[in-house]
Amino acid sequence: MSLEELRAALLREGLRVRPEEEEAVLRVALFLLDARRKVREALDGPR
Amino acid sequence: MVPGDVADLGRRLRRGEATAEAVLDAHLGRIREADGAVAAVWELTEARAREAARRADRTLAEGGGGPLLGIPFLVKDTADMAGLSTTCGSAAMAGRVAEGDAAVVRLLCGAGAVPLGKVATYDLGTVGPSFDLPRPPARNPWDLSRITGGSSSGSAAAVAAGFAPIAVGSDTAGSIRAPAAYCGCVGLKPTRGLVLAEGVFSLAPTLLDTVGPLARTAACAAAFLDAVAGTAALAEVGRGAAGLRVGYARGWAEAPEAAPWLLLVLDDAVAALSLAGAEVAEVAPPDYALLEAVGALLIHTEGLAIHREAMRSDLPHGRESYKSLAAGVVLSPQDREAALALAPRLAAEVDRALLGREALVTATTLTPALPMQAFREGSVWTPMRTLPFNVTGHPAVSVPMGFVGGLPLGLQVVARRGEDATALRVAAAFEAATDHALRRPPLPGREAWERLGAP
Repeated sequence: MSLEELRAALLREGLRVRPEEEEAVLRVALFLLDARRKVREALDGPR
Repeated sequence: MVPGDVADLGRRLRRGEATAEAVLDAHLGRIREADGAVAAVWELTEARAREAARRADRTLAEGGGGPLLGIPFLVKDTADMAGLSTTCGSAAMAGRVAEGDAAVVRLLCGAGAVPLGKVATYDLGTVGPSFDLPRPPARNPWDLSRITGGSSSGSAAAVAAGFAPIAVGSDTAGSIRAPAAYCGCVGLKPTRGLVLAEGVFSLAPTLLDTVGPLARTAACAAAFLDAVAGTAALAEVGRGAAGLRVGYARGWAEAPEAAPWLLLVLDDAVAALSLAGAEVAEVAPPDYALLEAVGALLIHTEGLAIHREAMRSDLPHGRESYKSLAAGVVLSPQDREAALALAPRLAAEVDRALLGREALVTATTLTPALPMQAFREGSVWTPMRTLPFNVTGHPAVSVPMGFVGGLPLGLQVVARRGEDATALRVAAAFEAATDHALRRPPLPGREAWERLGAP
């Protein structure tokens, strides 16, 4: 995920993250996307 | 016997060596002496507490009452107390005055315990410490320049500082056990659903949220559990470790982010448990990363769903919790469903690790409390091993397992679901085999405390 994709997702949700906060939110978002991958692989096997 | 715990105070009350009102005054005095440094207490309910203490003294005079009669307790500000606002630490939630008590507060009061007031929490029960909130973060009594851990920050700091032998906490990912480990007290995350969560603010209610005690000793936590969940844990905690079969999940502490000496402290703790009579054998624990992944998906999908509307508003949000919750926008309801589908399989893996054993042990956190200064620029990752048991629903208790550089660490004891008393029994046996529960933090002012005869 890129910063631009994150900004778009935040905008869709109507959430307001300050420019200086975006990197920190992206770090958590990337962790969550990795968590999603692990959970889906455990359920369905590696893709 | 640990001075100032429920067993010690209860014995003095029953022998007439102290009144409940004197016990109340000693704890209020202790708060006045030391909370200027610790910053754990947000609101005192002295009139209500005095009324409860006088009622307890009348019951004592009649020879009645149970283990919590006349015992003071504090309440994390995520749980309702009638007439007080439940802010969850957030300016965005200021002014929400509770009409009644949370179920856990009601049950503790019904057992004769004395409600002292509200203590600090991390913002919305999420991340911290934060410095843009209405109140400053609580400080670690063992080193005031360090964090308490959270989110039950005030509950842990208050118990460690001697402000009350018991404090109500809540635990979605380790929010009772991690601050208990960092602050050197006992913290129990009960079996899922054992303690009523009514009147306690939610973060991830489907599987993860639990309500439980921060406590001076395992016996204090057992008395709490008996009062609010109808268990018989207090009778169990004195039975020692002889004959108990304990699996040592050492692998979970073998991580690059762990403090270099963690395994030495953990091995020593396990050796002490073994010398106390437990049969300890190393076990291969389930995949920690997968358990953590399931928990993270649940926290961030359910947490954002709860706070979404408020986050869209102009309310004054703490920025650390806002950033953490906002990251959940990358997830979908399908991610939550996937996590919920996988959780029972992982719970069965922990059940299998407990086959033929009464308990598992591992570290609660992989480091001691970090310096507060490290969080000035934003949240910092603090490695811990707590979230798996919110996912699986097993009871887990953190008990002080040693000190390094004057800072406490926690041993986490996990038992089968519904066997919280066994987890507390192992914790109590470990307490009895070591002197960690007797140590007190180097805080200013001990006069009020010493009047009760505590060291």
